[in-house]
Amino acid sequence: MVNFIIRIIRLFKGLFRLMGVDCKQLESILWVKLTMGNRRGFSTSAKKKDSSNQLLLQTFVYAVLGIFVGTLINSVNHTFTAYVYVFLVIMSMIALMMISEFSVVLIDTRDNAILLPRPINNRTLTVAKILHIAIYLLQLSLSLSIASAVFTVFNYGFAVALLFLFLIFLSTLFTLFLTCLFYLGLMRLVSGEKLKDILVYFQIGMAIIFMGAYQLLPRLIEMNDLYNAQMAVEWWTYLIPPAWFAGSIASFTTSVFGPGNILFLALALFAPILGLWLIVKYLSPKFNYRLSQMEATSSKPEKRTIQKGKPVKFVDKLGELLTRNIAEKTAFKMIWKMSGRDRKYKQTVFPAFGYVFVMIAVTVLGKHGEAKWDNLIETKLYLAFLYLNVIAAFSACINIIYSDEPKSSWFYKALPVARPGDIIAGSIKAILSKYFMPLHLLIGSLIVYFWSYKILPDIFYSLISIIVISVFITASQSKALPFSKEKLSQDSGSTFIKGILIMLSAGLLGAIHWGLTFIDYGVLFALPFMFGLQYLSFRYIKKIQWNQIED
Amino acid sequence: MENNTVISIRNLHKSYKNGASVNKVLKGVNIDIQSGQIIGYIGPNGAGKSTTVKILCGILTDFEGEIKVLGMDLRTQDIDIKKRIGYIPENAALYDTLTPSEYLQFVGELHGMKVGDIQVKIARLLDLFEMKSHANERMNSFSKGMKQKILIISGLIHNPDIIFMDEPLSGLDANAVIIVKRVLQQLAKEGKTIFYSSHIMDVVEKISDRIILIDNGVVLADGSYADLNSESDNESLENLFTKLTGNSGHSETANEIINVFEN
Repeated sequence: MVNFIIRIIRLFKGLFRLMGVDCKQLESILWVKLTMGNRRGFSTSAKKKDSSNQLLLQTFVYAVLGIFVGTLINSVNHTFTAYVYVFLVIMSMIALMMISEFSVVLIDTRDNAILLPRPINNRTLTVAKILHIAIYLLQLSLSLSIASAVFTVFNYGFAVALLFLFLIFLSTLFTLFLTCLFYLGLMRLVSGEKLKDILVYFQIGMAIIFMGAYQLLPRLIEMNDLYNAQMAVEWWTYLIPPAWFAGSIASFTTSVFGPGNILFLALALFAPILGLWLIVKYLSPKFNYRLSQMEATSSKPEKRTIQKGKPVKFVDKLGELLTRNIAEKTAFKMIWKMSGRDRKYKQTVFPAFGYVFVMIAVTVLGKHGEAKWDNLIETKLYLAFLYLNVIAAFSACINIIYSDEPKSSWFYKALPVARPGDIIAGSIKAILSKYFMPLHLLIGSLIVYFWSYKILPDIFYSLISIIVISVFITASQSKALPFSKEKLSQDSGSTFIKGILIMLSAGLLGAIHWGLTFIDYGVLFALPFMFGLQYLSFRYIKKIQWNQIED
Repeated sequence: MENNTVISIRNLHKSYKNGASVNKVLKGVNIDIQSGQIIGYIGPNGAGKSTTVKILCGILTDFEGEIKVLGMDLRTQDIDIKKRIGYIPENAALYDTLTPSEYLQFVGELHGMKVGDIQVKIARLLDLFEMKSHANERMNSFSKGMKQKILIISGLIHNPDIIFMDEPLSGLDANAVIIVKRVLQQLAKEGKTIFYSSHIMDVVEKISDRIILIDNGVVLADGSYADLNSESDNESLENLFTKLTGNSGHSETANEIINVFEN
């Protein structure tokens, strides 16, 4: 795939030479960047050969996603509206994926030490960076739009489909321009480390939006309304980029070329070209400059606000209350702080909190979006809300062992700690107290508000019940110290199995809980039993010995 | 400026802006360096050593002052300068999902070397640095020393006239350190100029023809080790460093640290 792309780039050699680009250097940089992109996300094992082709895999996934987008062309009756939907979805997906998936590739400060000291002229470097981004974007947009192109062939013929693909190319260039503006704006506002923080929160938001949109949109939007909608062209329509491209297509399908259509065509053609010119002339050099400054300012110690006073005291007191020995208490305090500062951990775990609320909304909305508010209080749906929080508890527990720098965990073994189980127990207590319990209490408060205070025993029972199941499954599956393992792609499979296991167990516990609600004071009587189980689950963890710990 | 001056720095200033605060790192540095010299550029952490090196290599472009490298203006002829310099950074900055062969091939191509020449050089150099058996393994599992060896090769592969090194020996084993030191001395004999930035005094003391001490963005001392030694009552470079950078109370600090541990 990489060599194929390079061969295509080679076709434009003459054009690049005219621009003052050194083609040999351009090819070298692109080959290296694309090869690295290809190897990203796979095992870091040194001996592993570059056999898996990430680019090809992604192309396939996006092509499948594109089928859903393409069906809009068939289902929506009004051509202009249908293509506005298609371009809107494709352009937003490209921009969002750019920011969430490829930030690491784009903001690679290693370039400063590797590329900047070499004799590469600015134009070569600029064109290499733009092409690198454009290749990713085009690969994404073309695979997303291939199905739409096929639907266009069937509905409007081959010529319009070709025009559609050309417009996809132009819309991608325009999205590149917008994404570039977004990055530059961010880099202007914040320094290196803060930029990385913001991008992580952006990724978390993206994950929640995608999940939310996937689950909720079909429930909230009446599909017939969507299919029958007819978007009228007002003055502000010319301000919406997807409308430029959709308007151009509609001009050809209806063979109407009034002033409005001409304006759409002009905007679709010239806005991306103007954007590209602005990128080459102004934005990309600025981007390179900001990148070179980023590392320099990042390497200077940055003042980070460490919370002092009340919150720290609160953690200390909570640690005293929940832990039984020094090792456990120390691990509790350390993991409490580290989990809040580790970007990778936040990036993996925080979306799960969003999913909990998305799933609660899904439960309330039902199949056709009619909320079940009327008879909600008479149902026992609160049990579903409470047990959905297993998603958050499990994600917080299972991910605490992973780190980008597992080698930093050497110190555990250098410490005079007799049982590593104490460290694991302390860390699980910390993350459950910091992330799961507040969320559970928040959901619990809402339940008390809608139902009644009589649900309080259920809230506490489910709290303990979820802790028990999370602790048992986490510890029985991975006996590893916090932040001590590297997450490899093959771990996703085992995480998936663990996920299924915990959902089944949570379902079982939920069913038992549901059964208990039919017995007078059943939940209250079962509470001591659950406390007993919780005690046993932590005892099980604390007994983990050094020889059981995974490296 | 002498005829064989290869680096000329005049009134070099550099600041970093971080929000509203401005951190002045270099405050008027003036240096002339002749060809064939090994310059030991020393100073405490945060003195401005790495910033100077990054400016001279064309990584940081917004500086104040005038810099000429090999008789060319760094602002206007940076590409021509970059063709003739090599840079070995301190933190193993390389694309570590590549193999050493791929990475060195890439660097060679960027310097306009012929593919055949690059391959011959890579094979020979990897062998000499005892890295031949790792030539086709991805570098992300390499130790710091192994990565450093690759960085050293990548800085020298195109036979540059000036070599800028930022803590180049960190992580290397004793044998590799000896080899690199000898390589540097041999290169200097052949007329290459080596700008060696470090805070490891004994290496600087042994290999440098001239030592430049910088602290807080200002050059505090400049001369051969013998000159500096005679001016300071035959003190070791370490003592001289301590004296000039105003950190002379080391023994007292060490005693206080011991007291903290013991109490």
